[in-house]
Amino acid sequence: MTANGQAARVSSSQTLHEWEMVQRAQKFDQAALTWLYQLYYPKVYNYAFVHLSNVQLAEDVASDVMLKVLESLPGYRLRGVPFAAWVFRIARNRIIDLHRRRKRRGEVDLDAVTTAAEDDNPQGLAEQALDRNEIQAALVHLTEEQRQVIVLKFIEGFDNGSIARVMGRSEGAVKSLQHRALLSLRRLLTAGEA
Amino acid sequence: MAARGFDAILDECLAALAQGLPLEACLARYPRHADELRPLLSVAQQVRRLPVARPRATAQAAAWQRFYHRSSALRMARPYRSFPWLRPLAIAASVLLALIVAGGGTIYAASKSQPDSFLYPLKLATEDARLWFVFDDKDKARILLDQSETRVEEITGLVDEDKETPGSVLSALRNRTARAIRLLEGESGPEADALRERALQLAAAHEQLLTSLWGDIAASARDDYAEAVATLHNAQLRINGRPGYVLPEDLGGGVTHLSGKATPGSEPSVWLIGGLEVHVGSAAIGGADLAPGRIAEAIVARGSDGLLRVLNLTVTGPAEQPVVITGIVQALEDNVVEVGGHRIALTEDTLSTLKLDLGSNVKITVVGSGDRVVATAVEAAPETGTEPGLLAWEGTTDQPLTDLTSLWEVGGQTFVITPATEIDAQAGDLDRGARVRVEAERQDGQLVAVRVLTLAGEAPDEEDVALEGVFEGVVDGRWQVSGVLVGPAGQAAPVAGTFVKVEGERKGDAMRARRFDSIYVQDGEPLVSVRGVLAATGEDAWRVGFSDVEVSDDTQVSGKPIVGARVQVWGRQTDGAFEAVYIDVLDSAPLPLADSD
Repeated sequence: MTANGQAARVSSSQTLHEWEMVQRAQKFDQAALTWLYQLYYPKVYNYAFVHLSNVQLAEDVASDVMLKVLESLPGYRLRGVPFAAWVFRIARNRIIDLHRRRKRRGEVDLDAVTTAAEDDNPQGLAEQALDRNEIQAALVHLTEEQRQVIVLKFIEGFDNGSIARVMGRSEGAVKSLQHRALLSLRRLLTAGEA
Repeated sequence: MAARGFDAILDECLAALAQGLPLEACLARYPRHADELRPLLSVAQQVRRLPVARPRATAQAAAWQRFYHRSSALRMARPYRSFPWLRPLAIAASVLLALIVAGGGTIYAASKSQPDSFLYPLKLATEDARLWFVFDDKDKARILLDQSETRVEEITGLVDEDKETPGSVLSALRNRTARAIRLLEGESGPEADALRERALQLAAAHEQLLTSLWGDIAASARDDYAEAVATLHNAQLRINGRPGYVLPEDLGGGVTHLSGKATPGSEPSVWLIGGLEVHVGSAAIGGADLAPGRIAEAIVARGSDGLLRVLNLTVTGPAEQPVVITGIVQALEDNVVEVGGHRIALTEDTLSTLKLDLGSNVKITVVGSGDRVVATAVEAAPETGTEPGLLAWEGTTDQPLTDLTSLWEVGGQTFVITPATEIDAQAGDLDRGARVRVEAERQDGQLVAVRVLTLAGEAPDEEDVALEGVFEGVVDGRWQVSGVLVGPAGQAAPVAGTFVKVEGERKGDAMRARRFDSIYVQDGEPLVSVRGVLAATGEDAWRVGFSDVEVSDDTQVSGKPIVGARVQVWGRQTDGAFEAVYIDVLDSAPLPLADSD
């Protein structure tokens, strides 16, 4: 097992504390639920905002995810899956559902503008970057999996093992995705500067 | 030992960077891969530096309420898990309990409450509770759209009563519109299509209303205002399947109405409208036919970053200039209002920030011709006879207008420009040397521009200025007109309260009068004012826009009547005709025709 994988295991006192709090939250202990909400709502909001670039949608997603976490909490079992990875898997699924629903309806995402595959016009990207944070604008143009890796690793600070659990992929696949995602991001940012 | 793959090397370097190792030290470990690694590690560092997006406290608190109530419900429901049908009963019991605690009378009173009432949160909560028992998403969306309309009626009610619009009603408008749109996204079929169409129309109308109200929004409610406008705007883009979006911070500096000739800017998405630089991005609605030389009317948001972004754009021409009628409402029937003998139709598209009543003083923007005269906007008319009085000032600028929050000098008089200032630069850009008319209100000793208008024709001497306002009295031998000192006029002072026009030169802090006209004395019902483009002149009658104006030997005329120029006519209805008392020709040349594309 790699160092990252080791880190994902329930080994630190921090994680043990988290596990204790989660167990209390599973019994709907008020203090534990408050802890859970205060810790994860901002994280999920940040995660959703980076994906959606829309304050309102991110708020709605964060709120929905927290409710889903609450409702699914009794079914959570440790079994080596860190609680954070479990929460973010719910968040990821919620965002994927949101995108799929619009795609199925043939709608262009209001917030995500267009995807890289659909729009390789560097000029359009450059114009967009003028208005919005360059990186966030470029992230929109990555594939969903590439974006997940970038956000989870570099913004949320997850290790490869946890990312693998959130995404349902192997750690090797995560490393490979990470490489491709950074390459794409670099290319998009360079195009934006051109 | 097998050679390590690049993925693993990259991952190792990323981990080292995360632990604080300098980039160059990482690269030194793998010199063969340094060129390939450097840009990727650099990008990773850039991403790590991306600032954390922090949720708004209000949203977090609202979500906490949902979370908390859900956890309470789950806690209570645990012993009854095998009887899920009991859950709706538990909710119903909660509502019943709330009714008992609050009292049915209180709930009823809350349902009639306005946003400035302490019962208003209960009204919103009751509306939310109503949705708990609606299980069809289309029905829910319909109710939410109804609730959005109620919010807008509440907002116009507040504006009508000259009250500040609190954030709660704006937040509720945003919330209901957004929820309705999202619910409809999962629906299909004719009923859902009809609801989407209704949502689109409401979002457009509500956005238009809010963009005309920026100046009426309390500073404490500006964040909620920006979020509401952004939501309404994005809702239209989303329903139409359009890319692009605006964020609340894009509206952080206010919203303004701007019109003028379009000129391409330094980049493809940058245009100059009337000389002001604006960004026409993917979130702009309309303006597909925008081309150099065309006259464009835009609703422009000023972002927290100072950039002006176009929300809505219409390409138009001087011939389409509306007529603006100001006066007392003489008659009010179903969907028709009469002012100064003009019968004007009110339609669903009429943007009204006023509850029309007989006798109220209104300003109505009108389009149309012949029998079809329709109000596009209805608002309260400025009270020229009382503080803060309205003043109109004409002069030459010695500096271009470049921003919407600045002090701007015109003919030696300083004005405060705000995003609430309407800007009509159709006759020429707001550059140095432009002849400009500024209509302003006196607020706290400053003149705050309500409307800026560039004037067509050759500019007179730079020192030449003109002033319309209310004569207030004599101060140190000079006349005071709407706060501006004028003198000497060389004639007897008019009665205080007289609405006057003075032409002269600006000398230091005062104006030296050359010509003085008394337009009317404000001792009774004020005259009706009609502003529009002069379409025809005759011996007995002129045509201003669609309005026929009778002229006689008693009619005073300031300026040379030129067809195609804008005029302001003060008059009264006599025997079924609109008889002009005073006509002010604003332009000294016809409005320039827009270039065709």
